[in-house]
Amino acid sequence: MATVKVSRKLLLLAIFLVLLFYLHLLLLWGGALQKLCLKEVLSIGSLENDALFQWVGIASDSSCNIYVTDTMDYSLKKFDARGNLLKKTGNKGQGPGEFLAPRYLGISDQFLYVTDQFKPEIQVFDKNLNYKRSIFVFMPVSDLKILSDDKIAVTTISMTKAGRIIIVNAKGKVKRELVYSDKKLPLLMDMVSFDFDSEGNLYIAYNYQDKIEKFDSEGKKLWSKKLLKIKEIKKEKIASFELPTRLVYKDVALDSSDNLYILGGSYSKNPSCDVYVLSTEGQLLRILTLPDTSHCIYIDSQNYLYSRANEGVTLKKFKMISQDN
Amino acid sequence: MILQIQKHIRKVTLILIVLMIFISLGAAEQEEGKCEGAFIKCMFDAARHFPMFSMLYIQGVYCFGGYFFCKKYLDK
Repeated sequence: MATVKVSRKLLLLAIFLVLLFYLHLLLLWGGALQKLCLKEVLSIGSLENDALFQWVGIASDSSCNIYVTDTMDYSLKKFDARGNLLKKTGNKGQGPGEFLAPRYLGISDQFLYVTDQFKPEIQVFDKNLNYKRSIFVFMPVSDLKILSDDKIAVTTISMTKAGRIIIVNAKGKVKRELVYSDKKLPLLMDMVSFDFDSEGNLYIAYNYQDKIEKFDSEGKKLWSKKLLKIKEIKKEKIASFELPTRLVYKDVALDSSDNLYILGGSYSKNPSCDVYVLSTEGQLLRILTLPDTSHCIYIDSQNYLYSRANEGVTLKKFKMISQDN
Repeated sequence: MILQIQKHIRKVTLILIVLMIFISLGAAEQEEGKCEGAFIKCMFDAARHFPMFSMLYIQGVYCFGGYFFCKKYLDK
């Protein structure tokens, strides 16, 4: 009788342990499986039409209009929320409102800011694509973010101003320099993509290093992460210069909850397609995979994600759907 | 006389530097890749500004910018 009682207790204990084990697994997987799906909601441009030739920069406004720089068409284009071309401006040239190689786009409540690879200036347009003015910057701008019309954050390709994000006012006067790297690094190794969250914190992803960092609004480093555990960055000697040949991270963007999205480069499992999503504390939450390779990612105020397809002929807009819902 | 020799030495040095740049550019032209090729061509154009160092520097910066963008855009 006593043996039966003991074995019953043991059996109950075993069942309890098994249940506990499954519960643990469920919690563990539940955390890891916070998956995010991409549902395509809009596609602009295709190989069959000439809506876009090779787009580079993108921005969208509160009415869901989409603005795009088309570098092969030397133009700035405005599309409505359905992808219909509303207006196009610009042509090849050095004059006001003209482009040599239009690149990145920034947007404020009133204006659009366009960089050009071969012009040391930012051209300002209104939302109807009318040229307004130019902000002269001492060197070609490699990336920009608009904090306000009088606070424009830029990175430049310069040997003397490396390792810093420069904030200029509406007249192009330097107001502040945020130094993210005071070390003298080899050529291009301090190039970054960056963004600011709603509290003014700065996020940077090094383009040629496995390094993602967060700084507070005072410039104090809060954390630094390596996602890919890369041991060595490949370099080649090109025209007497030793240059990195493969990008680690290509672009960063923030959603409305200040989660950080980082587009991986050649070192990712799915090169130029993997997007790493990090919490504000730098914890890896999930990895998204874009259906096509992209040079950039953009997230609008409604958390739609935009990326490239057909090597720049097509712009895709995705809704990010959490599978928990 | 000494001054004349010094003048010649300076000229020869300059010519040698220019030659070295062209030779190194030519050797590197064997590199594969669109971005690398474009960078070499750009630096070759930049070398034509020698000895106007400010122009050389600015053109060089544009070349690095072009290489960076090319890699970012075309790299898969």
